[in-house]
Amino acid sequence: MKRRLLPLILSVIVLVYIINTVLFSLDETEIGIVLQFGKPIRVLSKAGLHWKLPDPIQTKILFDKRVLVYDPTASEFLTGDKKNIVVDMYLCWKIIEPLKFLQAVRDRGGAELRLEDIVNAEAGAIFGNYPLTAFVSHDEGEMQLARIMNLISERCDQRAQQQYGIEVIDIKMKRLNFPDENKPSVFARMWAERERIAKKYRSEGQERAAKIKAEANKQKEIILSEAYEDAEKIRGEGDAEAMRIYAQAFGKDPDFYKFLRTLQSYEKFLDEKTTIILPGDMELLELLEKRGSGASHGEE
Amino acid sequence: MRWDRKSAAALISIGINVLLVALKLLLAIVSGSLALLADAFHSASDIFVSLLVLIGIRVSGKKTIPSALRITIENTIAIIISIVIWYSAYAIFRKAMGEKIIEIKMLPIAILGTFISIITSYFLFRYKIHVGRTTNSPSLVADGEHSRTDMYSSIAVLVGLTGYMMGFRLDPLAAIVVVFLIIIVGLEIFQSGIKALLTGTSLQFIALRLERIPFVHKIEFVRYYEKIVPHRGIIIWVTTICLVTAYLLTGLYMARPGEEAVVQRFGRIIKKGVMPGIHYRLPFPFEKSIQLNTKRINRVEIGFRTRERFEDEPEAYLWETRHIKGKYEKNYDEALMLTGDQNIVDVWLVVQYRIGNMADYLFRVDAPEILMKGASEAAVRYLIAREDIDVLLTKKRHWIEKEIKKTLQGFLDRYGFGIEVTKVAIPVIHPPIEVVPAFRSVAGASEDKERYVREAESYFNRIVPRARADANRALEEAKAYRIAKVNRAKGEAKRFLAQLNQYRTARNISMTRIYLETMEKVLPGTNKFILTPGASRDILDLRPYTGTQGSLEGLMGGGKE
Repeated sequence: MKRRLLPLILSVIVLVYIINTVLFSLDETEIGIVLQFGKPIRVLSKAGLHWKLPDPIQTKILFDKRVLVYDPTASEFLTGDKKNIVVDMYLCWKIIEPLKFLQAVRDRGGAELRLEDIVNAEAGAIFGNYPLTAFVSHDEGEMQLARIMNLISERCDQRAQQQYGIEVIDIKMKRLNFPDENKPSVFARMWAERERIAKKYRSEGQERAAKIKAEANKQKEIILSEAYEDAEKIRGEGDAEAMRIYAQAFGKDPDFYKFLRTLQSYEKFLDEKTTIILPGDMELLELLEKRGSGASHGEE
Repeated sequence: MRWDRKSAAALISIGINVLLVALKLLLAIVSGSLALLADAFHSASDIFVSLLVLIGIRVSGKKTIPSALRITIENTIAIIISIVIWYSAYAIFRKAMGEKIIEIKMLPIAILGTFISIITSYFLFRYKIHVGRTTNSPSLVADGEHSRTDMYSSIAVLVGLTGYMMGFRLDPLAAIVVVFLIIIVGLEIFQSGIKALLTGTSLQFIALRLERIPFVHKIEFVRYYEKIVPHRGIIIWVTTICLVTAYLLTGLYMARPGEEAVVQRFGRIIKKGVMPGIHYRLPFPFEKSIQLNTKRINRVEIGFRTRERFEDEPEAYLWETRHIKGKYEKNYDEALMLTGDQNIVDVWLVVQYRIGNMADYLFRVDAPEILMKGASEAAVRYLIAREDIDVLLTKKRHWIEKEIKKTLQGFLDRYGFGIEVTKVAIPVIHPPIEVVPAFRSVAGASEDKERYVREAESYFNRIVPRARADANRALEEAKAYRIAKVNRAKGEAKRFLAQLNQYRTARNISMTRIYLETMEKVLPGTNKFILTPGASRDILDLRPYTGTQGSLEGLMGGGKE
């Protein structure tokens, strides 16, 4: 038992060691390099089971081959029209040449450090060529944010591929703002703008109100005057018709009409305030004169 | 045949225990119950005890004194194992005492499984004790007694689970009870190991807890195990088969409802989109599986964070609310954005997404959440930067939600990372707090404008109809005038004609009569002076008297009545 057990344990240990260092699996997310005494001899990019010579002879280094996201700290830049902006970007990159990557930057931390340098340098240079309206504008022609970011991403990609074996897939602007010191002046501008709009609204309202009132007055005048015109016409018609009727009737005996109408007028204009001086010899009073005979005549 | 029955009982016991461990482990993983996990450890430590006994028996059958080296190795292993057992007990204990609330899933299955293991343990211990007694084997009796604790520990688990079903958090407590039992087993092994080590005897003679049973006679053990020796091949085989089965069973994996699984063999994807249910893959070094919930809708919040715990919610969230307390926490860096007319606007954005392609999500991008957030921010800024503040606040709010969704999906597709944006919403968009009053006053001005117009309209509506009414009245009056005038004329004409007719028949008489009638009517009311024919009209000045009747009368000397 003793004789069999010890070699068994020993051989199991050796076997496990060999299996462990010879065979290894490469995950779907990884890319690997096999080094022989520290010298790279193979790049493994396909996921699955791989082999190499046991450990001290050949060793392996594995890298992440996924898209890696890096979010450097926001920095301040100057636009072409000398305005300060604070920009926060994120970048997506991946390792495409693990050998170059290993030699140039060793690991992810090193890569991120260098990427930040590149991005800030390129971004600074490119932002300086464009006015602020290229970053924010409602004008389709002026707005070039997408182009600017693509440009930065291309330049960074070029440098990173050449130097570090890194592909920069995309750089996007997460945030764009004015520095805190500049914000008050922006707010002041917004206040003024609002006040202008408020004033505009009010005077627009007044203008429209005045128009409506004038229109109302105009219509009133038109309606009333038209009605006056019609009314006068109708009255005239009535007068004319009446005149015609009078003429027709009275024309039959103008003298009698004159006689009657004169007497009617007397009825109308002689009232208590009228003082009449009647000549004693007028026909109506002739009987008064001859009192004696007149009396008998009167009694008759 | 007596001995065969004993050995069979021992073997059956080990086999069943292995299966029990597998069952409990599976249940523990599926349900997340800590007590079940502890119970699985408990059963596992039992197996170790039984195995140790059997191996010892096997060796002791040879009747040779084992070498000192072997004894030392054996005993040391026993002590190490007892420490491992303690450590696992400690780990479970810490978890049980932890703050984290344990959520138990698939409760009915866990309860059913525990129930099955209780019944199994029960029959196992009854069976072992029965066989032990009838065959006069104290070791089996003792083993049976031990299986009884196993049953108790499972009962504790059952109590814990049932309590959970009724709303009591008994699971950690049950786990602690089981931990206690585990510690006792560890203690037994430890004790035996130390004792054997100190006395220099082989472990099997200490025979673990069997020693505690007073009537155990060493010689009897030797005789008993001697008989088992011929069966050691079977023992090895059964043990191996049990171990292999247990190992193979670790290849079982489960995708819960809503989840999808990916299977990798040596890191390479061999199966994608495995649907919910229990599935099998090869065990550990060969294959592995990852499950992820692909139905769940995830959220990204930009400009704010929803607080998990909050108090003092304000009555209403206004534009100038600073969100110092309440449900939301504001993030000014994220929320303030530049608009196309270089104003600043305060925007909150919620993006909802789900995993569309799980393999891409897992294997294409290293930090999907961070990227998702960054891309969402980039998309919203990009679109806000193209529009003026006024249209953003009003007309284009919904339009821009749609545009952001489109743009964002475009960004994400470019990274090929298997995310599907299901909804983009802008719950809040308003001017920055600093300029809110100015915006409010614009709203006031706009109200004023409306008011002016409304007032003018009401003036219009008052004046014009009134003018129409006046016009109408004037017309009607004119018409009435016309009719009246004509009628009157007609009447007068008729009167005249009638008079004329009469007049013509007796001209002079009528004339005189009419004249005199009129005079009678007219003259009574008037002041009258009658001048005698001789009086000169020239000297009479009536002017002073016309106003006063009395003085005139006086002048005339009462010439009238």
